[in-house]
Amino acid sequence: MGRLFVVHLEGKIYSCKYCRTHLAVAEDIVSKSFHSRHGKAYLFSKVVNVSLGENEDRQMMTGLHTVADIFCVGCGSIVGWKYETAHEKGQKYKEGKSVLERFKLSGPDGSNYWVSSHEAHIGGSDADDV
Amino acid sequence: MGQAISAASVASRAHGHRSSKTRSTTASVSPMLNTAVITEVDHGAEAVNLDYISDLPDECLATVFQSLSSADRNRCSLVCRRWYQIEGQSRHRLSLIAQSDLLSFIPSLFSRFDSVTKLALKCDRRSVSICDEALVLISARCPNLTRLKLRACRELTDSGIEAFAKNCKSLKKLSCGSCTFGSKGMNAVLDICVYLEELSVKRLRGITDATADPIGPGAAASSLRTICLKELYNGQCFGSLILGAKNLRTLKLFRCSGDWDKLFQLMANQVTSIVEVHLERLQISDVGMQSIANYSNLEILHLVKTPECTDFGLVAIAERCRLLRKLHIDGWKANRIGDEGLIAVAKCCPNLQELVLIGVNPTKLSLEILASNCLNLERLALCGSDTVGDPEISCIAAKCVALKKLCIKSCPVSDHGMEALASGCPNLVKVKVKKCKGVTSEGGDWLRLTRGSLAVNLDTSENENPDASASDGGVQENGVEFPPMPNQTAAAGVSAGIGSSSTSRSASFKSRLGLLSGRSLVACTLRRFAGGSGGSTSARHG
Repeated sequence: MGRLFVVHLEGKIYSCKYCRTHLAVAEDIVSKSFHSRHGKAYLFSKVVNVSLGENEDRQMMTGLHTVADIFCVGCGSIVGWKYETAHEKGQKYKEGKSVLERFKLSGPDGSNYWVSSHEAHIGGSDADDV
Repeated sequence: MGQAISAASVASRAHGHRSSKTRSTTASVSPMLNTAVITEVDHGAEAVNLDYISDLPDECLATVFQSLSSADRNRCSLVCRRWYQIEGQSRHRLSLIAQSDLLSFIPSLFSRFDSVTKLALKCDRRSVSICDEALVLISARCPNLTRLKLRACRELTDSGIEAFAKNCKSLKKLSCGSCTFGSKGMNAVLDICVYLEELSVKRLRGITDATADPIGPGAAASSLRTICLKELYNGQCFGSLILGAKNLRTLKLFRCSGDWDKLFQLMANQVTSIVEVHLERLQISDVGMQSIANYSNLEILHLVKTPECTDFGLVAIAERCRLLRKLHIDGWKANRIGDEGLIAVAKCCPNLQELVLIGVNPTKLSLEILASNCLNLERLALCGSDTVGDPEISCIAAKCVALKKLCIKSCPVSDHGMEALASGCPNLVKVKVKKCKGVTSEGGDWLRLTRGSLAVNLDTSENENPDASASDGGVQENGVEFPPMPNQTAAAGVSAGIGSSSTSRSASFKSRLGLLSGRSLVACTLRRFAGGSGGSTSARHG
């Protein structure tokens, strides 16, 4: 995706599981209670080294949102999504923030999260309210 | 008598030249020739015309030059005016440093080289490149251009590209890397150069803007055979071109952002002539794989670092693409592809000739079936696999009848595995073993002794730091097919060409051992300084 210029982070870093590109730090976690098709997901206020896909309207458990998928710049895999607009007042706090799927991340201590045996359906992801 | 002979030979030489100014007196003969003629006479031999080349018609001389390298041709052009002229007129392939100061040289360059059909214009990131005016000037002088390669010509704009296309309508191949024009220029090429067969685009900055127009299909869509997209933001804007290219045979997508499942789903029924697909570092999942399974003529599939592609997808492809000949999988040690997928390939694809598995963990289960079913399997490479050990090598040795080339890297194989190779694989021509801790030089030597005709290439240098070997390098795209290695150090060649040099290398490998590990150490360190995956990737693609 163009010449690769990677931002490097300090602190407790969550990175892409496959290519180890830094994606976010633990301090920027807003919520750990989100869910995606692969299980747990975290809401981050700031995410780096990702490229944005197209805006889409998605119906989630918490209502209609306009989101854009985000992809790791190092390997191109999808790592989560970013909230562009929330159509319900109570969900406005999510705007501008990004969700990263825990399954796609390598945690600060290098730990990985493995999906439990129920396989994910191929479809939209949904978020759980805090 | 001597004089008469030399005069005669000079005269005949003069006739041979077209533009020669040689007068037929001995006085004007060059000193060396004079001596030679006199020597001939001294020996009482017949006068022989010693300047054979001057008698050659120009076309023959040009044919001789075709066999020379560019540097040799440059040197030949300095010999005399005739050679300068002929060399220039017969040079079809030209590569220029395309910096802004090239503009003033274009008229003289292209009157000297007036039959260029393949042109490369390469600039670097730090310099200012040629501008539109220069490109248009060049295109006006190369109306028969069939191939153009642009690298980092960042001053070129859409209008320059369009004007170029208008002058070079017979273009067949366009390759542009790190340019900044956009969809307008690209669409102009696709509409004007209707014979275009190959399009390769890397890092085109003008299409990054979300408002960029879709590219294609254009008038050239039906003549396109190969599309190659690398490192593009918004590579999806080429979607309509890919869908419109009804005769497309080869599609390569390397590290382009976005979700590509959708495009492949759309392609499933529209573009069915595809024979070769290369996918690297893409967001594509089993959904996309199932769409690829529709290409029943698929022969070559490379799946490199696409961790969302699992056995499920590979099985789907294997069951429907029965003509599969070459399969490369770099599973990135994600264990999404393993025995299950490979067994399906073994059962459904009897034509399999070449199999490369990197970061995939096949066991005896699948290797056994592959060996027994794929009777045409000639080339096999296993790299970075935790499950390929001596039993697996023995199995391969026992059952792969057609195997000619075997490459094993970073696998838990030991000298016992080498022993198995001594008595198996009757057609084996070459074995390459690298970074397998259990294999020692004794094992290699023993194998060489036992099986004299076998070329054994053994590298028993120390293992690199496992972090650095975690193949950020990916597949080398240098056109050599077999076998690609993750993070090649400078010394590691690709087996296809090495042949005889391998034995000589292994003979002196001990002296090079220090050099090799030193080099890998430096490469390792450089990668760390450059900062993780980003650094190494940019260094390679720089």
